[in-house]
Amino acid sequence: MGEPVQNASSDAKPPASNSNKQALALAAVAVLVALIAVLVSSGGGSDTPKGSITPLAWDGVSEVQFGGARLVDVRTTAEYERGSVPGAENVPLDQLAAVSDSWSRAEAIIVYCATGARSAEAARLLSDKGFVVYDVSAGIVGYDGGLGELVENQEPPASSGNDGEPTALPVMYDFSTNT
Amino acid sequence: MKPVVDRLREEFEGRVEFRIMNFDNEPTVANAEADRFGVQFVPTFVFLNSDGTIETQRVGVVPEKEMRSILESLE
Repeated sequence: MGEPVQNASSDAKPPASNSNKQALALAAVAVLVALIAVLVSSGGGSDTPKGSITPLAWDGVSEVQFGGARLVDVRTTAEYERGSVPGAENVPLDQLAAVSDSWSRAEAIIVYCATGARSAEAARLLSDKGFVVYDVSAGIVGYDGGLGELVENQEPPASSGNDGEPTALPVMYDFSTNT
Repeated sequence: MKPVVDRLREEFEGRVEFRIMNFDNEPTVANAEADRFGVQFVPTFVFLNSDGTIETQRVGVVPEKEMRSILESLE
């Protein structure tokens, strides 16, 4: 009868996927792809990175900070002074839109509040402005002390100067694995 | 790529911040940051100006000379 139907999918490479987990699985393939890709590597073009919101547990905070991130307590100043996570700066939710204007989008933002309600709102606000946001949705009520005991009347971190003077450097991200 | 990156990191110290996103060592942050830039493969290099705008991206092995010239072009 007709010609045999070839199943082309059997040896087809998986399409580019949205999942980074899949991207990881493709690491081996990526080496080959990379060799090809370098020949046709994408050109420049300036654009603002899109924002994102990632839920984060308290025990993941130091890892994100290691990658370079700002830890922001979005509760009121009175709440912050009664006790806040070491290294956190205080930007009450109602001031966040204005204050964050002077922040570099190159830096990720970790937000927390008391129970997760305000931080969720803060995360949406910042993400809409193009920031990469991590929302510690457990809130300070779920804080396990992993970053140190809560500090009363904490001095804001030195880097949080809000003088509108951008001190951020250009950034090179190197996405890699151990292999 | 690692020796090249290490060398350039030293060379550009104080001028460009290097953020090593290792999917094996720090998967949470690497995955989130990869999402942000649409990174699909390793190695991928993303170059940002200090205002956070993306200058360019490179997928795969980048010759040292080219990487240095991109780093020098960042504002």
